[in-house]
Amino acid sequence: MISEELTLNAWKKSLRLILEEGTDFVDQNGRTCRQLLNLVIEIKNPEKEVTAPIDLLNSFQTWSYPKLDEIANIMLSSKLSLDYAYSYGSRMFNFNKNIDQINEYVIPLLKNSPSSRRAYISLWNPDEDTAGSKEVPGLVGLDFIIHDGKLCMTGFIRSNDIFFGWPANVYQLHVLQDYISKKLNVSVGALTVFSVSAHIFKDQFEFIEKIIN
Amino acid sequence: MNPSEQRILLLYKKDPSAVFSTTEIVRSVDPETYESIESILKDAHSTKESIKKAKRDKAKLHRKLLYYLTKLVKEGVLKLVKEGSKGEKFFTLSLEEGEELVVEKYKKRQITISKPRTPAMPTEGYENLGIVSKVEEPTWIDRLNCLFCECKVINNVEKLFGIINNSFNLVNDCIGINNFEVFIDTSADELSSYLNKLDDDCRDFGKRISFNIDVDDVDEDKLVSFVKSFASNKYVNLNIIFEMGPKSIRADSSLFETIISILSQNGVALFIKNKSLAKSPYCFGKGGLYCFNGAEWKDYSKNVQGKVSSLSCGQSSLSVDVKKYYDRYGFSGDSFERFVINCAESLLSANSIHRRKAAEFFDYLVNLNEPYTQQVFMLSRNYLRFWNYGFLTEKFGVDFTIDLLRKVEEKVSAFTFSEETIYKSCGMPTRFKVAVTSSINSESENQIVRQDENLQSTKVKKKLNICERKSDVLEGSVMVEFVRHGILDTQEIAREWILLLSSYKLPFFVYRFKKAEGVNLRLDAFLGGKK
Repeated sequence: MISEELTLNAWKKSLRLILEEGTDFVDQNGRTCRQLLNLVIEIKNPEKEVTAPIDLLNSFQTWSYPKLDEIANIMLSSKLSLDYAYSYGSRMFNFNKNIDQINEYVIPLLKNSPSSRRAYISLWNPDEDTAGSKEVPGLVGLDFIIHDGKLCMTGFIRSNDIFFGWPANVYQLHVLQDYISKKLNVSVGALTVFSVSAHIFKDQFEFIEKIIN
Repeated sequence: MNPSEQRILLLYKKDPSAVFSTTEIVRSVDPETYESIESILKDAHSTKESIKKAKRDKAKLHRKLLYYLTKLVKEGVLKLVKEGSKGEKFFTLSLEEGEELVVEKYKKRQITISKPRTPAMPTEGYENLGIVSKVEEPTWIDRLNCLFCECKVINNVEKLFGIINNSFNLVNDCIGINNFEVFIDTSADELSSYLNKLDDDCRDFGKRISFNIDVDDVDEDKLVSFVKSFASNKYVNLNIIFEMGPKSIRADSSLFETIISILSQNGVALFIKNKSLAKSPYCFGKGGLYCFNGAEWKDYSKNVQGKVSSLSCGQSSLSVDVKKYYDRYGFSGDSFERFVINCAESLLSANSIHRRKAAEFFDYLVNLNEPYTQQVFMLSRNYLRFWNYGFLTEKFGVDFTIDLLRKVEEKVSAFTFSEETIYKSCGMPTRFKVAVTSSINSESENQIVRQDENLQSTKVKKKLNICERKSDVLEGSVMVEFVRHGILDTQEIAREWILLLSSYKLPFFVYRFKKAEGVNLRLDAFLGGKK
């Protein structure tokens, strides 16, 4: 487990760990990946400089990273845009087009029972995701717990590109954590990401070397 | 400021680009009164008298709001964008992108409304130099270039023309109609009346429509009758794309001789898609040719076709004047490839806005295609069109041109793949494809086979081979144009088609009949279109 105060340090440490200790394999698209299983990364203070990894990615000017408002919107909007195969927001706020897991379950539950350990939601929809769909969500579950008066949150990601995906994932999770903590009137606590397949791609290695060094 | 005016403006503040109908505004500005009236109107137990009163109250409520809406229009805050079929008015903010509107204080509050600005794009410098231009710039980010209608799903000719009409607001270049042969049975008078109106509307709204007809799946007499009617009306903005293969003509050349005869005498161009090479339908717009990626169309045909009424084909397009670029910067190093990536980045920005605003810009498509709305954009592409690049072949040779186009296509494909991967890894699985294609409005891009040129001559064979190679790189978007005039031998032209369809890899070509003076048509073909 990697535990850091700041998002940027946690990201750099995890990239180094995968680069040095990961195992290579070729994915279904023929790309060579280096992978670690069940990597847990904790950010103790996600409120501070949570977008630092995204800023660093943007500084390369080799690719065009999604804009912050679009990254946040995908998390908070219950509507599924015409152009996305799925969206985290619709899975959370409008699951199966009828369940608001956040406003109608997590928030009331923790409001009425702050010590509850049942504030878990699923973004994996067996109806859609096991029917051979081309795109299925990477973020499959979220757990919320009030610890020491702060809202702590854990995101479970089944397949996680730590170089390109993780910075946006952490920002998305923090946007949600901030939204819920305000509704509950509690402070923001630690943010933990559990990545079952934490991987990086070979064609990213040169950029990763630059980042960690 | 009156409280009603303030509430109207607060509604627009939430969504500055929205177009609201009077009903939507009434419902939002005075929800309680509106709901109480509606509940009486919907209640099965309401008395006649109470319904009558509720209707009066509703009309009064509308009139009251219309007074303030008209006032805001006069003050230049709102503008009336359209009037619905039942006289309902639709309003939007009279604000350009990036502009801000500060309304006078009301109860110590100041209302500021701003419309999002189009983001800075890495091609703006080139646009200022005339090297890059956005196709249909005023509506570059809020409309599609090209939309296709699926006749086999729509299955009703009146509904089809209704959808085309409603789609004018969504499209800035052209609309393709797939499988129009299913409506060939409609009476000639009825079709003519629809098409006459459509051509007028296309002229007024600056659109083009392509009707794709599979000639192997249609009653010949009805096709001939449709073509006769179509040709005699000499539509300016409508065209027919005949989908055929070499077998189609070999099976019955007289049908095609008849069609050639009818169209040539009326000076109507004849567009041909070689269906043994291209499965996707085509659309001919101001920007150039639009079609779907062959492999993706195959997958769509197998798994999705039959579910959606309309499909987005072209989202945003950029045209590049290659000659102008070369004259200023040359082709040293990888500068041209980097420039092309800048173009792709601009298209990515436009795509991002399309995505975020899709529900607002394309709500009609959402409603039309329920519950298959996610499939509407499944084949959509952006277009990067090269223009004015014929000089490359003259200056550096054909191999250089083909090699340059291929490199550009590979770079752009790698960029779009990388961006799709980034977006996917961020939990935003979206589609971003760019078709590298050719503009077709300039002679230097198209190979033209003139009247005096024989298809068997070495010169023409060479031209067609170049075209085949370009077409291979540019996904079939190169159009060969054959100019024929004078006394036409329809049998000779039909033989040319068999050769073109069977011996060349040219997915799309056009015959233009300039100043057709007459035709040598066999009598049996002339009489009935039958052998």
